[in-house]
Amino acid sequence: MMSVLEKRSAVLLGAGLGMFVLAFASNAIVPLVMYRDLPEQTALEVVNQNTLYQLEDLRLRYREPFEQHVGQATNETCAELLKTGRQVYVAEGCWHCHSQMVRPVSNEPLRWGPVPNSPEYQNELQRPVMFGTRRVGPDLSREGGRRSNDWHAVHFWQPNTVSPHTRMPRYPWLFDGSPDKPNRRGLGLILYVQWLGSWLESYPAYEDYVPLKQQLANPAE
Amino acid sequence: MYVPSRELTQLGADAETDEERELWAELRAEIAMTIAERCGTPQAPRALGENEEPASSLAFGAKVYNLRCSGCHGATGDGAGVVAEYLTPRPRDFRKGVFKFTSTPYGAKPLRADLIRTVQRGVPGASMPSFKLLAKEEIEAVVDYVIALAQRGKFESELVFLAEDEEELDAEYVAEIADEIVAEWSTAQPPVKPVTPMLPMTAESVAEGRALFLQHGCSKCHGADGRGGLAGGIDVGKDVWGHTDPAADLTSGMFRGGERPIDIYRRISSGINGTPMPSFANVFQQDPDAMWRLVHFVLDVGEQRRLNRPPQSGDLR
Amino acid sequence: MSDAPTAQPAAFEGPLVETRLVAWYFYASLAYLWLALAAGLLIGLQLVDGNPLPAAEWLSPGRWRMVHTNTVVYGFLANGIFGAVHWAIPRLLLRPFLSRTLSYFVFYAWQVIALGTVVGILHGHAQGVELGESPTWIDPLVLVVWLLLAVNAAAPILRTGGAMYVSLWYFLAAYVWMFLTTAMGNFLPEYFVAGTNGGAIQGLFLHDLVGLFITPFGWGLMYYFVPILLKKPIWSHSLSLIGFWGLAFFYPLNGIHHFLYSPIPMFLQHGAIVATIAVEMVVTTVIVNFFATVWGTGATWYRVLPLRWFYVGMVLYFLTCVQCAIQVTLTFQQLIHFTDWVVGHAHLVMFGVFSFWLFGIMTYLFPILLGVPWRSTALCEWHFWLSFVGIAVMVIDLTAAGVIQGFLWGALKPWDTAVEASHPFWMVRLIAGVVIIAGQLCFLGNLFFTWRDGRAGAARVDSHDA
Repeated sequence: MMSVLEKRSAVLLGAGLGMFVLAFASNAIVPLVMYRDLPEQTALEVVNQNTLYQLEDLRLRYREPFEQHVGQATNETCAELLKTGRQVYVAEGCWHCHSQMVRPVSNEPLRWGPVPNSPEYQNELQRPVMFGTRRVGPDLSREGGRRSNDWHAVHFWQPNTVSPHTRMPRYPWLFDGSPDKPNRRGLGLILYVQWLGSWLESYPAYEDYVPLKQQLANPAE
Repeated sequence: MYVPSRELTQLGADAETDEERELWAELRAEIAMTIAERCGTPQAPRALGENEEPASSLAFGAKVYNLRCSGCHGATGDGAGVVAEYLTPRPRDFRKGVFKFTSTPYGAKPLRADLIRTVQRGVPGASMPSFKLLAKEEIEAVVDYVIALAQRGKFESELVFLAEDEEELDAEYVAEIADEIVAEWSTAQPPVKPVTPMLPMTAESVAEGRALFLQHGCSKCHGADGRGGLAGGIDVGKDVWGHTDPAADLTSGMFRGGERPIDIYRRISSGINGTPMPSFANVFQQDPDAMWRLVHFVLDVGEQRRLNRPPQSGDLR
Repeated sequence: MSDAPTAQPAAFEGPLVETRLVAWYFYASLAYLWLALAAGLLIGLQLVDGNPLPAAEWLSPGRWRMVHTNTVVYGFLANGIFGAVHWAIPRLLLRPFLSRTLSYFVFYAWQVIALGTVVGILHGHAQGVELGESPTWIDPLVLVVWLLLAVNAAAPILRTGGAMYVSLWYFLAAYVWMFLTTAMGNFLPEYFVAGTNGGAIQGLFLHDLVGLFITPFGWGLMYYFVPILLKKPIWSHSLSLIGFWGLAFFYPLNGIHHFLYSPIPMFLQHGAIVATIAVEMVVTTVIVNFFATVWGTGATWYRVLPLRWFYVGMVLYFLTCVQCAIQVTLTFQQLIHFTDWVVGHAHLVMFGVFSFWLFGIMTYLFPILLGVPWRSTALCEWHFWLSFVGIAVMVIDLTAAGVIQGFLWGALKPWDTAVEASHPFWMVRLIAGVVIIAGQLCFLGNLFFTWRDGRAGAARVDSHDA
């Protein structure tokens, strides 16, 4: 027995290949099979009306930059801008200080909003998935709509002006020289952040949201 | 020290003789001194009506304010913080004492509870975020301080008027002005209560609401599609702070003054102070149910994007 | 033991160990170490709101955060490990690597990869997989180089007959693992698998990188260098066998524990938790083996500096694994996930363990490679103590910070309350980081003077010959 385990073939094929494949099968293939009926959505498919509102808002606020860097406000330009935004989010390492994963524990739903489920992540903009690894800043999975586009613009320009004690660095290269002139990367990142959570009915009042029907049952304060 | 307002620094700027200039300089100094005496400094603020020792809670409120609010609203509450020029709508200038989202009738001062609610929930769609996780004491203190700033700002501009008219500061008048401002804020105005209970919201009530929306000219500012002045290119002029203030996009699903039916009711009934949005309380006096139908329509428009339905484009008719 | 041939040496040309290449790897390793230290310093300053160079795109702390981790793994540790392996494998086999040319080619290619990763990340081409941030155009190259490296090293291992020493099991398996891990982590989540499932693969990749690359090479090198320095064989062959196979079985199953309480199916999370706790058992057998080996040698472990690096590193390794077994439980996760606790844990294992081992190996090998003793043993001591004190303070500090952050978050305090509360901890962490940097400065200075001594010595010998 012992001597078999010391053989070159055992080490090479058993430990090297076998154990790796075992782990891969149980940890990667099993969920793959479980999600087989949950196809990956494209960026265009996850464009929704809440995101389109924010896109339109960006167009109306930053008319010249928007026209220059995005053009028209359509579903297609929205999807492309979301992709740009995701790229910036990844390239700037946003995901090393911001998570996109509300956990069902530690009062997190009270702070951030509803706990996400797998279908929410099953799209092109979550490949690779942005669960995150550390929270120096807040979780962002339900950040969309909480703050306005211009708030995000001045925040990316100089975070500590609107967010006291923040440790977030400045991102002036997302602008053409001033916070009211976001460039394509800036517009993209703002839209991407506004997109997060936009697929939920409770956007943007995630924790306090009371469905309209329920409100109407008891309209007085 | 609080930064003096532009009105104060410009007081007597058009003086021609040295004598006049000297007089105005003296008056300006006197005003500044009077304000400092009555309202204190950002470090040691005092409320206008307060004759005893300044309340420590106000200083606490000032601390919270200077940390979290001054970046947008400015240290004196003049709505001109360092980033204010990049924000639309502009951060509120408290010095006029005019507040948009109140539960009180048109033109009345807000309740303290209204301001607390605004701090807690923020103004969705505008750059004011929610501060709901702040401690209750912090929120209450900061609201008290905002009220103190509003009173201070009003006091300052009234003193400038007084000086302009009288070319002197009569102590009696000054005291009177201060008392008036305090009285204005301390006279409790009850919140607007609907005359009738809300009707059940049905497809019919929404359709009737839509008819009322068009009939009463709401669409003139909010656009026939409800998409608001900015998207519709509708110019409705400026607000009392001097900024262009297009009507809200009702399809955004983000109601700035609150999304409960009663909030929408009050927006229609009381209007929005300081803006071109008027009060419709008198219009619907004879037919209180109509107001609710209008509320239903507005709620329905705001609900569409949540349900991922595109807003109706073009003319609602 | 390993110096005594276990098999008949095969005929070959040229030197057994390409010492120049080993030295090159070590120099490259140290160069990246300094890059990583600079990156760490920048982030440390950013966190205490004292970044002296804000608002420059190429100096963005967000990008340097990725440079920090990537240079530590692919620049510093990988180069150091490759250097040490180029020393250990030929001496274990009494047979050189397959091809000298290939060895040098791999060296150059690896520097292109490591440097390209840094430049790519700084240029804004990072990918969104932790420790897989290398730009997409580098990934295929990495895979090719891994293959070449594996062929170059595995060929002589497979050709040599007789029983295989423990170190070689680890090396041989690691070459297979690393190729597969790279292929999995750099391609699947980026191109093929989105969302939660991609997250599971990312966890697998991240953990395999530590568990199936750094760890097996690390232990393989310990099994080689510890007996040599102690001049006695390893205590139990059976225990080392259990350790190896236990690691091979349980370690790859841990990955999903990086995303506990995520939408990944809960039974998979439970599996990862159980496997993680099992790894702790396996690690205990390895630790027992090494401590039984050193038993009875008195203070040798302390007196011989490389051994001190090794054994202190092993104690810290054991602590890391105890930490693992505790922090992986769901109860503990509620408090510490996403906090500085985890950052402290990562620093403990990457610096306190594997870097310590590498420093031990370098401390032992540099005098041999340069042909002269260390210029200053005092500086060697300073290197050790400053590194040790620095990492100890940093880990204790970050662990405490993590607990405080966790409680403040759970108490629903405003976000910046926790940031403000972290400030003193981040201050201490910065100071601890500076202490670590000071330690490395001692090492670098000492190395420079030793290198000059070596050059002077070589020149003397040359002129003597002439």
